[in-house]
Amino acid sequence: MEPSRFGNLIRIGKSEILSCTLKGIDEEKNLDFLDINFRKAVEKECGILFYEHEGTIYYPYAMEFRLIDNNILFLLDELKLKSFSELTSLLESSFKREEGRSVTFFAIVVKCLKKPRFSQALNDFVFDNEDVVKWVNCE
Amino acid sequence: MLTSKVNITDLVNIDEVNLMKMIFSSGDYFPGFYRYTLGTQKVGDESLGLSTLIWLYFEEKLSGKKHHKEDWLELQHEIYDRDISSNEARNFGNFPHVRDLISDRMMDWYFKASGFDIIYLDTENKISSFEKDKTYYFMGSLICYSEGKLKIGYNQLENESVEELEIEFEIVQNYLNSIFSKEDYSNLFLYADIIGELKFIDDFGRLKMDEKVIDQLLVKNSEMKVFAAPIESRHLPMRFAKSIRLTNFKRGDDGTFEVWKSDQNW
Repeated sequence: MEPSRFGNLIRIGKSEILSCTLKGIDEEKNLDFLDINFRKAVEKECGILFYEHEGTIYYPYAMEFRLIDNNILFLLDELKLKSFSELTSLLESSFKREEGRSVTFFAIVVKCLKKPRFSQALNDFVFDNEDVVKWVNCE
Repeated sequence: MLTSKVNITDLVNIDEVNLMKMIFSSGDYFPGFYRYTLGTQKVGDESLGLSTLIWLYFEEKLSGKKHHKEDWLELQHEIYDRDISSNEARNFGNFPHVRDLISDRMMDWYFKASGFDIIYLDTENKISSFEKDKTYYFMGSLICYSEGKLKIGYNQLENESVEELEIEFEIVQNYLNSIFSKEDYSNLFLYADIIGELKFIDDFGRLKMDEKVIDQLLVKNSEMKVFAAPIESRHLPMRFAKSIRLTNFKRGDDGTFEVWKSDQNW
């Protein structure tokens, strides 16, 4: 089968099960993912992807399922987290507790001209000044 | 080490077929972050089962007896204490400011819910393929293919989904067969469905079930356990990733149901 333009985010064949960790974005607006078995992941920095349209932040369903830090939507809703700093405090604490390692988080926010499909609006969700956030325009 | 480069425009404009593939590519034996695997939770007699749920529904229908919210949630309170509030809690190792942040909110999530959608998880019958018109529990979501659509976060009782992807069934089935072995199907999928709604009115639970569905469920194993998610979480695609546990009930001396009491560890 031909490789997908979505890399290992889409499995091809009965290959090893891999989790996807967002590592960053390059100058050509390609997201860099590290694809590794969940139990072998040792990254110290993890990205979380958001979309933005007309002032509202959205979270993509693709990442809700596929990102190694999955279930972000659930977490935001369950704990009524309204900011990226609250979210990352929780994630960093949990990583320390569960995996015994320090992980820091950054956000990549893609500014969309159209309302993004297959994503959910996070009403009143904010980024604070001290958050590490990279804003990217999407054509 | 494998890496992927994914153009952001491609991801923002992802189509139905590729989203379907990405969703099923998440199938993993390990829970990933903040998600229970199918085998993570130890569920015993203290947890409500399918058979008792059906009896409770008919008891309410025939006699009007309703149970208090505190009774329905007694078990979940114990789980909350275990995970969050006590010194022996699983989350005791959290950063103190995080514990302060989440402890009350974690209780609010279930205790302030107006009610719950209730699912059964069929842990008896193994899955060997993905079929039309059947609902599957997959990585904390309920997924069903029907009426020409792959329904994510499907609720049969309300006939609603969080997202519906218009894809030919053969495309879905062929893709799944290309990435999953029979063993993968049986490890990653369970038959499941939302079978009831428990709504609190003046703090007493009122059950809603579809009696046609009950007829089908009666042939299932009566010991199957049921799980719940707040009604307020219907918009979440993976809302059963970390389910609420409802207290079991048993018949008292007068023949009506009362809360299960046991010294058994949960």
